[in-house]
Amino acid sequence: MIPTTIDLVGITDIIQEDPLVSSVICENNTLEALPISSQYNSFVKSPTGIIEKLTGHRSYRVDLTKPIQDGKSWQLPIAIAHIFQKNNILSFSKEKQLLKNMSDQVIWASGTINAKLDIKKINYVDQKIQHSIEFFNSCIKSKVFINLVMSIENKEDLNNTLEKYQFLKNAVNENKIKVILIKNLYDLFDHLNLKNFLKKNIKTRHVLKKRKFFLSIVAIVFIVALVALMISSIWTKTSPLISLNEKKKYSILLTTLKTYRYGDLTERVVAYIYDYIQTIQSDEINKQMKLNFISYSEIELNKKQCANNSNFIDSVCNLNLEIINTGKGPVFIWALKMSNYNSKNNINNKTIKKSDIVNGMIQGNEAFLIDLQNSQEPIKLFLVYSKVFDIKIIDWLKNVDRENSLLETTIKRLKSLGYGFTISEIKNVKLIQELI
Amino acid sequence: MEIKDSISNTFLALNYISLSQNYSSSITQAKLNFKRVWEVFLNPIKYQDKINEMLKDKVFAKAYFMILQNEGCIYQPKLRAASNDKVFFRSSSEFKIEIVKSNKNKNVYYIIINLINDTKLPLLNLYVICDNISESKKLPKFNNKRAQMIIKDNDNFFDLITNPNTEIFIR
Repeated sequence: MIPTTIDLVGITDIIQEDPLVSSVICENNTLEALPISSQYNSFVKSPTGIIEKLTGHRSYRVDLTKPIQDGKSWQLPIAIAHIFQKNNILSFSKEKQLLKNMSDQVIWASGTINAKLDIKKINYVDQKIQHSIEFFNSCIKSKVFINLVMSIENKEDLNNTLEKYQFLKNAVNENKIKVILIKNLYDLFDHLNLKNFLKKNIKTRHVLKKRKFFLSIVAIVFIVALVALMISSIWTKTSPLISLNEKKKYSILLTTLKTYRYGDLTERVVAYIYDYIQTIQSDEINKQMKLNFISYSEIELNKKQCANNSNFIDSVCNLNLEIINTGKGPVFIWALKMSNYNSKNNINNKTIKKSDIVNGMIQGNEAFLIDLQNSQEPIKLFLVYSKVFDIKIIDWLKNVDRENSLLETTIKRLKSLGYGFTISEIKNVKLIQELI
Repeated sequence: MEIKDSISNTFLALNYISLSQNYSSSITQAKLNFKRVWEVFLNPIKYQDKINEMLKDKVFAKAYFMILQNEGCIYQPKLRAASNDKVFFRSSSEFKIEIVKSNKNKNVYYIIINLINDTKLPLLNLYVICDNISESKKLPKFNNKRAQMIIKDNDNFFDLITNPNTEIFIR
């Protein structure tokens, strides 16, 4: 039953029409479509409507006992009627007989429905009940059970109305009228123990939910597999590098790294990660080592002048380099004193001159002192630190000392192997001061 | 209607008379009131209930459809198909008409009209004319360039609209 603000309307027929036809609502088999037909058509047709989704058909003709001119509260009863009709349990009204003799219960419903099948509040509850009183009376007399269905949002309106009609209140108390206030259309079918009527849709939702669950598991498995594959691939490429490093086969290691840097994505990633780890290690040792340049003089006259330890030291002072290991473990150190004479001048002499390399080990929290003898030439100090002793470092430093152009390559090599290093330059500068 | 409009319409009606070469003196003797035709054309809602009765007058109908054509309407000519069968689908550059049988009642049909283009013309009636027999039906409101009517097959309008020799006007 569809209550309106004027009277109570029954459904006399629901027919599936050709899908080409727009759904229509007519009054008692007339040829005139009611004004709500276009709204009904939208209510039926997917994607705007819900009836097509619920019943699987997109065009209907519905006939009513009396016309409905306006409003949307017909949506709930019409939707219920469509679902009941699909399941062949709908008993239609006749033009002048709302209640059929064979009916044992009726559904009086009013509400609007959204796409999620949520039932929304409607207005004029009082008027709709008022115009249905006669029908309720005849139902109770005929022992026909009444299901009064509305949105839960209309609870207060309905309670206020029931307060006005004592016989209705009594009928509710005596279980002659069942008030069903629902949030969603599915709730109604739960209340009526007709869950199967919306089973297909629930199933679909359930299947979708299950599928969603299944799909998310598949996605997770896929991502995990992909990550595992990537890790495996990266490990396959990384393990030879680690092995080469451990075996100190540096030239092959450096060549492999160079190939990786211009290789495929995995190789590039491996090279990047390897470089990054070695840079961290290199930075760590660098931070651990502190350098102090200490100037001094044995000549009494210059002692005071040389006591000032700053970046500017008088040329008459001697210079010591204090290297402090601030870490806990021992660090091996190689110090190459490169002179301008070695690096720039006299190419013929470079094979003759012996490299000035100092090598040693500094225990944790201890210092190492190198005497940088006073020289009139600028000095470049190349210091290399490592937590393990590497005999090849001396050769590399010697090569740098002989051929200054190898400096850049040697730095790259040291970085790749995770060794720390510093390069300091001590310049001899003539300062001209304007005294007057 | 204001006096100036009435005068203007009278002149327009006279203009139609002078323009029309199809009307012989014998037709004018059939007491054609062109002013009346023009009045009906201008006030379709007012004459909604009477138009079918008026269209029974063949002279009136001919003049009325001539005005419709001249003043603008959506039109579909006779079909070229050499068929005497009923036609349930017609299409032109302006609109399509589809006639679909109802599942509810076998003698009930849906007339579905789909306009091809947007139009600014007020579309109130569907007119059919075949062999000097014409009828009209009030059109429901177009929604998305689509209108749908329900008709019974024993209606003369149904015979006309399914006749391939029928011309169709929408205005």
